[in-house]
Amino acid sequence: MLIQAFNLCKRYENDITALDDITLSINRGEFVFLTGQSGAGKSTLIRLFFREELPSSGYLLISGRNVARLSGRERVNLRRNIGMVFQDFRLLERGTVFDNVAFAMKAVERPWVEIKRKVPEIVKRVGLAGRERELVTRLSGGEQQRVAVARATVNNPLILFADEPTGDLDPDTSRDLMRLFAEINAAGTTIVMATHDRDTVNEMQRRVIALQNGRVISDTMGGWTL
Amino acid sequence: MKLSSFRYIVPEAFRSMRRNAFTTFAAVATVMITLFLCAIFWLLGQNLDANAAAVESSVELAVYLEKDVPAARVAELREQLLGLEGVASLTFIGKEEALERMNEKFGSLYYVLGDANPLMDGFSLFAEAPEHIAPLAEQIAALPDVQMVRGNDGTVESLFAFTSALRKADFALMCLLGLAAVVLISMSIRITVFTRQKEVMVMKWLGSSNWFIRWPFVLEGVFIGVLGAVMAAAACFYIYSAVGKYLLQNDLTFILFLNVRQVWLPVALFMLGTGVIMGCLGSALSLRRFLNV
Ligand SMILES: Nc1ncnc2c1ncn2[C@@H]1O[C@H](COP(=O)(O)OP(=O)(O)OP(=O)(O)O)[C@@H](O)[C@H]1O
Ligand SMILES: [Mg+2]
Repeated sequence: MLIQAFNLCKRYENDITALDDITLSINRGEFVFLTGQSGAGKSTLIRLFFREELPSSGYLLISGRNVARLSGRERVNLRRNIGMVFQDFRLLERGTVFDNVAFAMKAVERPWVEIKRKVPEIVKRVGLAGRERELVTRLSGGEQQRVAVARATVNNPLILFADEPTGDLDPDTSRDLMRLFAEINAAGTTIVMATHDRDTVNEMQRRVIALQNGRVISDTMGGWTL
Repeated sequence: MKLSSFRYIVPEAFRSMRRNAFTTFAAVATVMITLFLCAIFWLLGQNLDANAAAVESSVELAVYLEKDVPAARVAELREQLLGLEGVASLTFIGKEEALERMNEKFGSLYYVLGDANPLMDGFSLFAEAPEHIAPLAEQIAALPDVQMVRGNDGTVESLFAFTSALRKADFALMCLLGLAAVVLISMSIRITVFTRQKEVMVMKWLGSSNWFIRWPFVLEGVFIGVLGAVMAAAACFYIYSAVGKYLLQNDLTFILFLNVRQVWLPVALFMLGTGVIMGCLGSALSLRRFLNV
C-alpha cells in the first residue's frame, strides 16, 4: 500500500470538522478521483496527504511511514517523491516556461547538464514544445496549467496530487490534460486528483472516492457517484 | 546538500543583492564605516605604543643645571656624574647649543622666541642600559646645582595609559557600530527573505533541503560583510600611507611611524574576519525563526 489513512480527522479552530473519520488505502499505480461538493473536504485531504497540514487525529502512512513522525530529512525525501499541482498553479511569475520547470530540478539539486536535457523533453510532453522562452504570465490558463504539471512531474514522482486541475479549463483542454495524466499514470506514477468535474470523471472510468461533509460516502470503480 | 549546488546558490545571492540594491548598499556602508574607524584607532594605538616603547627603551637622560653655575662647579659635577654606576658617556651642552638643537628639531616653532634663550646649561647623559635610567635620575636630581632631570619619566606611563584607554574606546566603538552593522545586514536579508517568500515556499513543496534554501541568504550576509571589509581596508591603508608620506615629506621623522608593510596584515585579517562574522550574525538573526520545512 502506498497511502493508508486510518480514522483521519481534521478540525479547524472555528470548530469546523473538515474531515471526519476517513479510512482508505490507495495502491501503487492507481488513478483515483476525489469527488464531492464544494466544502466536502477534498482539498483538506490532499493537504494532509501532501503533509502541508497534520491530522487532528488518526494516522496517515505513506510508503508505510507515519507522516506525522518524519524527521526533517525524511520530510524532504517525502516531498521529493511527491508531485503537486495546485489549483492556483503557484508558478514563478517572473520566470519563463523553462525557468519554472528547471526550478523544480534546481530545488532538488539536479546537475545543470541534466536540467538542460530534461526540461525541453518534459515541456514537449505537456504540449508546449518550442515555447520554453516565453514568460508564464503571457500564457493562457490552460497553458499555465500544463507548466504546473510539467513542474510537478519532471522529477518522476512516485505520487502526483492534483487539486482541481481542470477547474478553469474548457472541455477540450481538460480532455488533453486528462490524456496526459493517463500517460503519466501508465508510466507508473500514482495519481490522486480532486475534482468536481462530473464529465471528466465519467469519461475516465477510474476509481472514484466521493466525500460529503468530510466523510467517505462511496468508493467505487467507474463514473460519478453522487 | 551537495557541494556542486553552490552553482545555483551563489548566483542567487548576487541576484538578491542586486534586487534590493539600496538596503545592500546601506549595510555595506555601515560595515565599512565600522571597520574603518576600528582600524584607524587600532593603527593609532599601535603607533603611540611604538613611540612610547621607543622612549622607554631609550638610555638618554638630560640633566639641566641651575642658572649661572660657575665653570669649575660644572667640571666638578661632570666628574661626579661620571662616577655614578651605569653611566656610559656624558656630554656638556651649553644653552646656546641646546637652542640650536631645538630649532633644528622643531623648525620654525622656536623662532617666536627671538633672542631670548629660556634654556639652561646641562649634560646629555647616556646610561649603559635602560634599567639604569630610573635610579640615575633619582640620584642626580638630589645633587646640588641640578635643577631637573628629564628622560624616561612619567610621560611614558601616561602614554601607555592613554593607548590602553584608546583600545578600550576602540572596543566599545566596535561593539556599538558592529551591532548597527549586524542589524542593517539582517534587515537587508529580511527584505530578501520577504521578496522571495513565495519562491521559498514552492522550493519547500518541491523538496528542497533546508540548507539549500538557507545558503543564498547566508552568502548574501557574508558578501555584504566582505565587501564592506575590503572597502574599509582600501580606504584605511590608503589614508595611512598618505599620513606616512606626509610625515616624511615634512621632516617630522622624530615621530616614529610604523610602515604600512609592518602593520597591514593583522589589521586586514581582522577586518575581513570581523566582516565575515558580522555577515553571518546578520543572516543568522533573520533566518532564526524562518525556513523550517
Ligand atoms: N484553514 C482553514 N481554516 C478553517 N476552515 C477551513 C480551512 N480550510 C478549510 N476549511 C473548511 O473545511 C471545509 C472543507 O474545505 P475544503 O477546502 O477541503 O473543501 P473542498 O472539498 O476542497 O471544496 P472546493 O470544492 O470548494 O475546493 C470547508 O468547510 C472549509 O470552510
Ligand atoms: Mg478545494
